[in-house]
Amino acid sequence: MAAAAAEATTDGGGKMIILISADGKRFEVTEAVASQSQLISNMIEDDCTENGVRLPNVDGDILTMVVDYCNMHAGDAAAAGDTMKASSTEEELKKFDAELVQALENPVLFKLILAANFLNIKSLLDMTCQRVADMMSGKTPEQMRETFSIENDFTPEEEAAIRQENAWAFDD
Amino acid sequence: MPAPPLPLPTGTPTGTAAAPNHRRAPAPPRARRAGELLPARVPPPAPPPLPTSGELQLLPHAGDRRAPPRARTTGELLPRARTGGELLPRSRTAGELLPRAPSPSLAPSAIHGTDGLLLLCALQEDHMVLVRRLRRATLAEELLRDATLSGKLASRDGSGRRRNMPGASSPAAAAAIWLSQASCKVFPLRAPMTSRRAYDLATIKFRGVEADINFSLEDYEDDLKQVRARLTRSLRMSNLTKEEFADELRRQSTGFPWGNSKYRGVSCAAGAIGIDIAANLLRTHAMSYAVVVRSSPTNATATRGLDTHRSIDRSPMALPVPDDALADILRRLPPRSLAAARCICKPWRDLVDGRALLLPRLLPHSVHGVLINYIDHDLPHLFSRRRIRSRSTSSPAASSGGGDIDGNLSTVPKGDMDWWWWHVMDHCDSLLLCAVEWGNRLCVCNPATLPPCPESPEPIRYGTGGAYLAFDPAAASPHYEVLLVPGLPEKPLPLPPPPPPPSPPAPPSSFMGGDDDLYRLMEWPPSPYKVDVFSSRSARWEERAFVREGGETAATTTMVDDMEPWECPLEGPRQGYRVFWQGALYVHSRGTSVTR
Repeated sequence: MAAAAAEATTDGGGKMIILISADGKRFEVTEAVASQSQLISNMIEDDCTENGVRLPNVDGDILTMVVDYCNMHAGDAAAAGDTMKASSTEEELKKFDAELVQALENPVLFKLILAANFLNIKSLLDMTCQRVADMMSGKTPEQMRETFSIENDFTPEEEAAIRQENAWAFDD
Repeated sequence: MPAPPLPLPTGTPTGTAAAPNHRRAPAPPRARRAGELLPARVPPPAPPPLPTSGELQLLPHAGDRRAPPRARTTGELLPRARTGGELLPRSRTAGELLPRAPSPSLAPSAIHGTDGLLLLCALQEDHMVLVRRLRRATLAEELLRDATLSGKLASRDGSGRRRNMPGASSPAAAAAIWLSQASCKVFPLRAPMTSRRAYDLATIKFRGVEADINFSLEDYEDDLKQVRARLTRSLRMSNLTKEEFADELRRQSTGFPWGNSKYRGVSCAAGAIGIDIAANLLRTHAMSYAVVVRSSPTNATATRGLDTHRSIDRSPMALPVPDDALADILRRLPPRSLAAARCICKPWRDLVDGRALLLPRLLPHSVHGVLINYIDHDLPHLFSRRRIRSRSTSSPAASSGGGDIDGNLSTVPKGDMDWWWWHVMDHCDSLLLCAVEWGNRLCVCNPATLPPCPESPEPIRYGTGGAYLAFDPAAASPHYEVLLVPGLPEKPLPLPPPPPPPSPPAPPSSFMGGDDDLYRLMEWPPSPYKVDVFSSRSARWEERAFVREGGETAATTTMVDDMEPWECPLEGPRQGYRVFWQGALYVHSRGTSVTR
């Protein structure tokens, strides 16, 4: 995947940036792709990317997804000139995004959120957060706990009280 | 410590009044845009020296330089202000762990001075969350502008959010900016101090122990003591080494512990005329009691009562995402789901409360009371127990008048004449719909949020039929709608779906004259039922068509004949009975219901 990502972007021209995941995997991407991360974009501006960018809290697997995502979306930011991007229409992007998040298991999804948060890729963060929010939406507290394996640490009295506080949310 | 020389005169009451006002958020940025003020303002004459202690004295100065307009837009800023605390614990810890003078690499003198003030802000933010929110934000803004004016700070405008970010050219600043952006996102005013702190964090993160940082605990020793004395509980700080701290920073992304609000949640009283002073208090308390304290991992989940400091990020119960992201997720939920999420576990509850995610949507809220429209007396009165009083005595809200209900509803804009008659047409949750100026205008107000009326529709065409107010604080927005439900046509009208029923003024005496079968058998309400709606969101009147559920042929068809006319369609304050329930407005008019 790493190789594919690098290959896909080399002909796009521009400076290449090497991203290094927590487990040492290296990803070579163009500046345009990497700049979607505000973190890296700022680093590029400040010229501290020449030795590769270490991302100590992003796993290789997750970074693969992130790089995929950025490659797909580089077209938005970089506009024309990039041959690969020209072909990816908006619809395809949407489809890609949807498939990306839909398919994810919870733990992976959360890791992706972490990575998006860390790298400050707003669109990705939006998308993943929205996905989680969609999963929560319309659920009862019990269902939410189950969905996310969250332990209920309220005592029954506390829970009754807190439900009372927001009683309007529970009366149907 | 000598107060740093500041450009403008000091000692006006604004500064000293900070404490009572702390619960209010400062004027939002739009009130004072740097751009507007630029020509008028002079750069600070001399860079203030680095503060060493006693920034409390400093605050009034900084704040007073331009007595800022204190727009009471608490609702908007509150969550952000609260959220802005996210980096606090760390930076304080950083200061504690890494006592160094401000980074020499950022030290042209003026910047240094500004940095000094920024540090001050940061200190405020770290430790004075309890009492000084207003001051802090104000100060931060002042400083931000100062920095801009004096041209000492780089003005970077990439994302539109990160302007005036100091230290933009320093090696680790990229990360700093990244970090600070997270905060800028929620509270732009914080840019300078946030970036200071973020810089520290980022340097530590990326450089480890070699990092130069800005914070120095010695500078804050006095204040720490003060705050410690003020808080009933001591601030718990972990005694980490710098290495441990760096490790920890690297391990977690942006997790941080949250304080807790004293009053969490709102109890909703259904059916009462809505006003909620408590809601106002809630906002303020959520803010003023927000004590952000770093907990060590071991006591992360310990509970200690009201002012419990919890760590959310460490909690096994929370989602494995940083609080920022979790808040981001929760923010996307519709209010009902958010309320449900609040009941999931304590960390979530604390997050929702701490960031006031839910409260703004509940505001304003209900109050218990009885509103009386007199028939033979002049003006309506509201009778309500001041149940908030006792609570608010301990809070600044009482003194500022926010806790009182005005039984005379004197805030209703009655028009020019005192004796102008008006009455309350409708009420919904917390809002009153008043017909003023002899019923020529409608106005919506909330008796709890005293002056002024929050939003008043423009003078309206006020036709026949009933005016109803639809407002559901739980429904997603603080916006309401006023519906003018047309009454029965006053005179026989062209058959079935008659366009806007309020017809050319016909003599009321002929109302239901009964001499026209067509009229009596007319389908009512017409299926595209056009209702004038005023939405406070758009602040416009618009016509909206409603379609009867069940289709045209359903047995729900009601004839005019089936309905009794209202006895006095216009004279009575309430033309009909209505219930607004979960987004739907039901108007009772003899077998008719209008749903929205």
